[in-house]
Amino acid sequence: EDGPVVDASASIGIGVIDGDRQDRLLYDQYSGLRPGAGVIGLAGADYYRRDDERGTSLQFEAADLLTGNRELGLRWKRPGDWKLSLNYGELTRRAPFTVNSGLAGAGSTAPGVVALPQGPGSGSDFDLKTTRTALGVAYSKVLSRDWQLDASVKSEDKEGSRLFGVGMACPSVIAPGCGVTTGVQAGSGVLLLPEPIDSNHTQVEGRLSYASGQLRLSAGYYGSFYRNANGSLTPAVPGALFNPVGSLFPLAPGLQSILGQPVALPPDNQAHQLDLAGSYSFTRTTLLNFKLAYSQASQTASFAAMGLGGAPAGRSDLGGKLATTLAQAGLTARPLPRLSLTGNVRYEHRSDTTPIALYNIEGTSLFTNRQLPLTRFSGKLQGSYQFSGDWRGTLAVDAESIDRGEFTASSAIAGVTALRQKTDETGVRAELRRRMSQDLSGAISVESRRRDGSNWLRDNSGLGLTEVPDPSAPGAGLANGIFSPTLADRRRDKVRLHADWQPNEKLAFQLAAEGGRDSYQTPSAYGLRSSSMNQLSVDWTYVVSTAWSFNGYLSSGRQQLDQARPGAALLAYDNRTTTLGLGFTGKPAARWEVGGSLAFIEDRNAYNQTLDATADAGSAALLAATGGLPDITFRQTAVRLFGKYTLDKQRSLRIDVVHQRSFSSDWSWGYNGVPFTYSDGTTVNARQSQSVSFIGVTYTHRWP
Amino acid sequence: AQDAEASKVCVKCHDSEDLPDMSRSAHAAVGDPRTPGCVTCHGPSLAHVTKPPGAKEQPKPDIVFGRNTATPPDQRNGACLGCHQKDARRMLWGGSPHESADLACSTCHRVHANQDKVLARVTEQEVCLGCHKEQRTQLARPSHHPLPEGKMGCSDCHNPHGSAGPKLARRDSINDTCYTCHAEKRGPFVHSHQPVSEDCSTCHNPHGSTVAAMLKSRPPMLCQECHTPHVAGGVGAVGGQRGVFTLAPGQLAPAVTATTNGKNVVNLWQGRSCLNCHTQVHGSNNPSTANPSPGFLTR
Repeated sequence: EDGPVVDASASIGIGVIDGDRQDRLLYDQYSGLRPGAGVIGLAGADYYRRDDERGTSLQFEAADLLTGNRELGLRWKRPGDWKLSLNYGELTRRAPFTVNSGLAGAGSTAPGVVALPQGPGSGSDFDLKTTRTALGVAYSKVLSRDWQLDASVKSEDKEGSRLFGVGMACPSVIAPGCGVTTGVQAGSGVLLLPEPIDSNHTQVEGRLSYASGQLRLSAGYYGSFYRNANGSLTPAVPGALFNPVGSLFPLAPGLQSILGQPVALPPDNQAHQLDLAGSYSFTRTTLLNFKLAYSQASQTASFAAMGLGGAPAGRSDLGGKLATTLAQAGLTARPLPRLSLTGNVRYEHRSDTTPIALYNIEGTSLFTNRQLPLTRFSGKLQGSYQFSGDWRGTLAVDAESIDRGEFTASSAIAGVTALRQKTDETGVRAELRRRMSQDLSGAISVESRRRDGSNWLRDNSGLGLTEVPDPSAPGAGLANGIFSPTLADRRRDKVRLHADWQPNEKLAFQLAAEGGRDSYQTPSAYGLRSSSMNQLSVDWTYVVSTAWSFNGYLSSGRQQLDQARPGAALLAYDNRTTTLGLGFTGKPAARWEVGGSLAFIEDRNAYNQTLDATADAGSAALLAATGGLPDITFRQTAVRLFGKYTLDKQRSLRIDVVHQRSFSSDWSWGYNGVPFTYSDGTTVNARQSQSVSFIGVTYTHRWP
Repeated sequence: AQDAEASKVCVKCHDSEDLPDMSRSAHAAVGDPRTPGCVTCHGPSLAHVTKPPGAKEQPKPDIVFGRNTATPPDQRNGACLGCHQKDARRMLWGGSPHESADLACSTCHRVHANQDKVLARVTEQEVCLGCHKEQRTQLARPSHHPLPEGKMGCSDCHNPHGSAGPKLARRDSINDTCYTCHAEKRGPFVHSHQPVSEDCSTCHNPHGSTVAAMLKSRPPMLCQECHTPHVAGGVGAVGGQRGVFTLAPGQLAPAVTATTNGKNVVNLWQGRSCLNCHTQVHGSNNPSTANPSPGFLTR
């Protein structure tokens, strides 16, 4: 009798990377490597054992064992009876820049701001990174022919720090007592303070499923528990900071204490969900499916424990509570041999019973927090008709209604002209597919959507809202407003074209083209007016022989946004992207396997501005002097090659070569040699042109 | 057992040299009474087994899953769903976007293989991006989730077999899907930001962007799609351009001077832009009722 089948391998190798930290900012974003590490270890393993006598199998995988992204996975199962999975994974993300700063205790909850005495660039360099470490366990048990139980737990720790900070510009109605910027005092400050991260997220899931005959049912519980060890960030701010042109001046009265106020970090929170999903087959072609779910999310983190004071009387925590009910049902049927129909409805209601309290102050005005309930109702009906063996047509209509609930009357909105309680959207889509020949098929679809909504609700000068039935009426006060594009009336039109062509068994082409345009209509001429996108892609594969195959794609796309702002300028954003990919695999000799890829992207972003009639003289002078915003271009070319040489049945060698060149003219952190400088002299640095090469050799031993 | 017996005739021709190694596949599990035989998926295929007299070519099996197959997608899917629809993750397949688009299981899955690309996180995206070309372009941009690095897969966020959420989101909404990794954004907060609680994708493009944090467009433009801007410095310009710190020809005064406050043109357009001051854009749990209010998402 044959024994268990064992198939296993282990790999060990070494890799060399060139380039310093600045050359590898983009490459190292998710590489899991230490910055500047020139030599790295490569290790992985795979083990598979199948015991047919017992009907069990065991699989173990390990990857990236010598980096900060190591992964271990184990699956042990007896198919048809039980399955156990264990997973361990690490994932490090490094911010693609370095920070130069005098900040003491960067990444802690109590950093000390130090204005760099020698000016920007004279501080110490540090990186911002976050590391996730996750452990997951999952177990499935087939209880009987009809019943199955599934349970899983995943716990993930996240540590590190990320870009964060505070800023304040005085004077302001919200900061009485804070002095103005003068020639000898700094009345504003912007500080980089990394957010300290030390949290755990545990997710638990349990599910009992039943399937017999035409009926399938599954009931489950999902729990999510977020715990943050850090409640707040409180910086120590010195009495002097750099003013906007780089002179170190004492802070205006009041500003030091404002910048040193505690900053809230994400609070502990939890969510629970119960759901029941299922489907029922009336006939082979008529199927009903559904899902019902009830979720409850809460947030009761103690303000005092978070290190946050000044809560309104009677509140020691928010007591936040959201309850969401979901019901969805869908029916698919084929009433005629050539006609298939699909329809579904979905209802989702989120109630917000978070207690209301006077948390807000603006000068001397007090107002409360705001509840955010939400109700969505949507439905879709689609029919497809097979006119002949080659022609097929589809028509679909859908509708969605969103109700954001009554505005909490005791609260206020800030920085927004008006809100809308309800929006309604309807859409229609038609598609025609045709098989022109055995080798050529294509499809074209057009889609048109309309969205409108209830009357606009104007900011009522600091408290509550006022409904505006006629936004064009004199005195409506909306003529210079900006209205959120998620609430505005919108017309959306799209067209898509797709074609597959396989001229012979070796060669295949795929063409995909799409274009779309959104137009917005609001009570004013400002805000987002329109947006559009189009993209054309050609993919191809060429299988030369059983040994060699090639593939590639070329895509070109454009996205545009037209936006207008009162008192300043019209702005047109124009993005053009070209991507190119080439790949091949081959077997040049019996013992050799080779392969490679080339990936290229060029992403050009233009921000064109023109003045409108309301622009002030300062805006006109600035635009004339600067020419507006510089374009931003991102360009990257990555080449990856590998060669694998099989020494014998047990042993093989693999060599990997990677070369990546990147260029970015992003001016977020500096332009033309002038860095963006925080008020303490902190600067953020990213090299414009980055180049990195990697070569790695891996030895793999296989058993048996 | 009946299918296994009926399938014995198949391996007379389709032996191990004819088919790829699938010894690690669940479909090869010995001892599992659910393990299918050839005829379970391909049908009895009697005409294929016994070539009819006079037929020029061997007729194909009853159900064929290859690229140019004449078997309709719902018939192919029926072969798979007969067993796999029992799984809760596939109960909402009927009427889902992929089902409505006439995709067959075999469009994405390879059954006669030890490694099905779409079941491995590192290679899954090769299959998905073959059709989702806009997402392929977005993932090539510098700010992205670690999909190109193989540390995430499309199915970490999407259930391609149907879901109760939009865009085949793995959980019941886009936000609930994002919270599986970003639970710190769930709140609820003392000071919430309404669009954040409604839909993360209002501001973020989870497939990638040239703007940091996968934002759909660059702040302050993104913020000013909804918000009235601080007028000072409303015209785009950045430090290092003539006319910002120093005079340009014809300009009377530089845009940023020693007495310009923090809402200057550079602080509005560079660094973290609006987030230089409104750092708590996802919401703040600061209850302080002292000026300046955390309600403006500044602390």
